[in-house]
Amino acid sequence: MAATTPFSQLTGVVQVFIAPYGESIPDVDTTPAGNWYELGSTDGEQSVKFGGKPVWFRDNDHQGPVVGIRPEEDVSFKFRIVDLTLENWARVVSNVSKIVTGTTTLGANTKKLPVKRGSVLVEYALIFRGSAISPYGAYPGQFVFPRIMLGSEPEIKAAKNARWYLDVDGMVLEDDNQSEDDRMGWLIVKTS
Amino acid sequence: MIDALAVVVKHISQDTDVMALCDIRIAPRHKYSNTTVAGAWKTPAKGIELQYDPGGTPDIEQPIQNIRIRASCYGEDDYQASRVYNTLVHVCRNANRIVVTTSNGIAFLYWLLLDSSPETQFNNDISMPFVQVFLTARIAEVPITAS
Repeated sequence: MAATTPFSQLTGVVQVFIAPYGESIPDVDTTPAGNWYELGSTDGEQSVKFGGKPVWFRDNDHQGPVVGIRPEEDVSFKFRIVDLTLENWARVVSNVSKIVTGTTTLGANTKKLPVKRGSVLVEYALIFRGSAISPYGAYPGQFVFPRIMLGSEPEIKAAKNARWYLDVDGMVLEDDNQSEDDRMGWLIVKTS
Repeated sequence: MIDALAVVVKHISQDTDVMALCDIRIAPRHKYSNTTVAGAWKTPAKGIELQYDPGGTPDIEQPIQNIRIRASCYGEDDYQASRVYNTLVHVCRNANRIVVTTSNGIAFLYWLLLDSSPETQFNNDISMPFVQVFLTARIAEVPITAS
């Protein structure tokens, strides 16, 4: 049985915040505000995957590999949202600027979201924030991805006994405006 | 070692909504009695009994207690028992990685969640209805040291 402290076993869900690319990154002990928009509620797990399969090189002098390199690297994420306001929906499948409000001939107010998404993906910044995911105490922590694009291909399933949802996934992109180490995001936790 | 049930009892008994309805009547075994025994809970009154129930999966690798709890939410009538149950639902919605101070040390509650839908029952011995619901919780066995 390995030595452990209760805090360092991490559990719990995260909140998803999204903002236009370039938005300033909030401190870990501050709830994102301003242009940061909580994309939720989510249902089930939220995941972050660190991809990038190494290539192992061998030579004639050795039986085993002599060096490995990682020629490509991916950071991807996915989650499922169930609060299907058009404002949430638009951020996932299109762009929030595409929502058009209107009025019917009978005088009812409406909101319209185009289904066609177009060829250009919108750049966002994304934060996965947990209120107590620090391994050093009951403190908040957050994954920060300064530049992402959502690549979702969600499928709506309407049923009598099931909730509608949008599966959201996307890819972290290099952000040349960050320092070299931080170009694909970072994890920051509060320690005191 | 941390007493897992004591952690859950303490956490629930600290909730302001639960306290407003049940006062101090939250315990591993109810104390309803109309005798004059010290500490007896006079009937009818709202209260919560929290007992271990099988159904959790023990963690055989890490010093973690995964427990399942049978919660009996007592009330003067069915409606009042449901009110107590509703406060318990609220507690479970917000129990995520919480530090709880117990007599055995400072404990860490990873989660406390509902594990069933409610069932209305009646306790003939004390002539009070209660709403039974099962909870699941994860608690660290080792106490948190001050850092």
